This record gives sequence, C-alpha cells and structure tokens, in this order.
Amino acid sequence: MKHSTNRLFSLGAIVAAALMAGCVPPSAIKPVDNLSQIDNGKVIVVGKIELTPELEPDEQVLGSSYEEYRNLALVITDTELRQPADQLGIGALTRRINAPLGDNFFVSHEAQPFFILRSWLVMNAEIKVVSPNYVHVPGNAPLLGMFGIDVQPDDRAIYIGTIRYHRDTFFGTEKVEVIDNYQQAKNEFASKFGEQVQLRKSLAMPVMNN
Amino acid sequence: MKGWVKKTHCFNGLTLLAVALLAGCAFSGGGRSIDDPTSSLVFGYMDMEEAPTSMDYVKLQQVAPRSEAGYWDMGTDDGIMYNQYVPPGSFKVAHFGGSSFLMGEHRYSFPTYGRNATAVTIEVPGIYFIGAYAYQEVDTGFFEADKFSIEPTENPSEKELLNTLLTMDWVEGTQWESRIKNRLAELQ
Repeated sequence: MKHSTNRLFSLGAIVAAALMAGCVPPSAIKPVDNLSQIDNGKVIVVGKIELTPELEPDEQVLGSSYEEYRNLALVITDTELRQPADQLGIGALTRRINAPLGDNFFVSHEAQPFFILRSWLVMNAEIKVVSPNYVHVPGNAPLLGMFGIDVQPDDRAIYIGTIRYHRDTFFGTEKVEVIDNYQQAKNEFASKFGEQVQLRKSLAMPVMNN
Repeated sequence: MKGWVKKTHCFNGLTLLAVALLAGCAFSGGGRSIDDPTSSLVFGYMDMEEAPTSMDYVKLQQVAPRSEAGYWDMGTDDGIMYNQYVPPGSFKVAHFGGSSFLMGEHRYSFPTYGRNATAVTIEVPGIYFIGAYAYQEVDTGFFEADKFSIEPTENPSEKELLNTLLTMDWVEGTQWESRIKNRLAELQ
C-alpha cells in the first residue's frame, strides 16, 4: 500500500520542518567583492562546487523563507581535521562557505591551512502545520569527501579548483573529483579584483574518505 | 549505516491498538495486481532482539522514479519484511518502528539522502533479498538523540526466509508460489 507523507494534519503543533528556522548563524567566512574587504591575516579563497547529475528544478522543496538555499552548497570547513557530524548542526555552519552550485565563489579566510570536511545541500525546508506525532526527518543531503587546503603565509589569494561531486540515484556520493579550471578562475578573479593580487593555484587535496 | 531513534509516546492505548491491527497485516499494492508480472518481491529480515520494541511496520522509500507518494508499506512478520508489489525503480528502507507496553512507540529512521545497506535498484522484475540485519544501539552523548545501526547477519539466510514466505497465506494460488519456488531452486 502506498502511503503519502504529504498529508499533514493540523492538530495545533506548528513545526518548522526546516533548516533551523530563523537561527542559522552567520559564517566567519564571508564573500568578498573587492580587495578592501580583505583584512591583514586573511586570504581570498576561490573555487567552485559542482554536482552531477545537476539538481532537477523541483528537487529542492524550499519554502519562501528558504529560497536562499536553492542551488547553494554549504561547504563546512575547519582548521583541524576531524570527522564531521552525521547531521548538519548549527555549530558546523559557523565555518561554512556558501558556494552557489556551478559558479566560482570568492570568500575571505584566515591565512592558514584548513580542511573542507563535508558539504551539504538543503533539500527540504519549509514551515508547515503538522500533527503532534509528526517526526521530522532532516532534509539535508550530504556530499562526502574531505580535502586539505594549503595556505602559505604570503598568500593573498588561492585557487582550490572545482570540486565535482558525482551522486547516484540514492543521492550517495559515488565519486569526487578536483578539476583544475585555473585559467577561467584567474580571468574571473582579475576582472573582479584587478591584476595587483596574484591568484596562486593550491588545489584541494583529498585527505580521506568519509 | 546509522540512523536515529524517535520515541513518540510513552503509552497510548489507541496507538497500540492501531499498531496491533497493522502488525502482520495483509496490504494492497497501490492498485497493482498480486499477479502483475512486472512486480518484484523485495524482502529482508531485522533481528530486533537488542531494540526497545518489536518491528511492527516498515516503510520502503521509492527513490526513483520520484513519485508523489514516495513510500511503500512492507508487510512484517516476526522480523521478516516484504512487499510483493514493487515496480521497477530504486528503493531503500526509510524507517521502521514498533511499540511495547513499557517502552512506548519508537520509530527508527535512516537518513533520507544517501544509500543505506537496504538500497536496491530493480531493473528486471524478480525476487530481491535486501539482507538480514541485527538492530544495535549506538552510544551517544547525554544531550544527543538516540541512534542505532543495523549490522548484517548470516542468519536467517535468503533460502530460509523464502521458505517462510512460501508458507504465508498471500502466496498460495498466486504467481509468487512458482516464482519463489523457482528462486529456491536457483539457491540449491
């Protein structure tokens, strides 16, 4: 017998069956648009996240309050290598790169080596009225693979490559590639920040499977 | 593969009654005939010895092709889970649950995204054994949600489970009588 999970009953309990309604913390890793936003001790990190097959238009179910997560990878980083949590938690979000899928991101990061621990896609986030017995199942899809990023003391900007996650039918991560699109990134970097800062190639290095 | 445990009630007589009615029940196949030759039998086993409750229901998630409903009920009987109406596609056990008088109602859920051990892709109609597993608790921190894992076991075997399925009422006089026997012959 098929069962629909979409029929939710209004019995008085309002649940944000969603990504932490209203309490997503800001990230310490900010997007940058010009060099004046780069303080001493910071470096511009340039890279791209891709997913293949790409998300279908209706695959993410996001309420109007959560549109900012459409086609966005939340790339969880840390300066220490550790096993990431099974679920996307508030704490992890404080060191995330917001990476629009398929586009280069430009963010500022402390000028020290760091690790990409895991990336996440918000697949199901909406506010809805449900029964008291409703069991919320987290609607975030993990993209597995840990990477080390080398940052040298004299770096002003680094290019980490395109991290391409291949997913299977179950949204499992089948394979991860790091692709070198340096020239394309360099051109975009130059048009955004000028020629005065060198973009050093420092491709993400896989460190272990997770 | 780890999942998490949700306790939904301490005690609720109506819920227990409903679960009792569901337990081991026959179920329809979303409008599909039991003799539909395009159907597959998907079955497995869960040893709930270490779990707080028995396994009274199992939900099979239809991952692909994506559908509005998305889930199929599996019949349960003493640890066996099965559905004999499954169309071609990709499926995995999404969650299962049960209740006991002392422990209340529990639901054991796997992550919605990503594979788990029960994942199966059906391209050709047939009989698909998704494995035999034992429920195990996972130690968690004081403020963490309860978690569980399922560990593969060798017993009961596919053959033993098919022999048990063969004795069930829904099999007699249907296509499944011969299809299960044919599969058993292959396993000899």
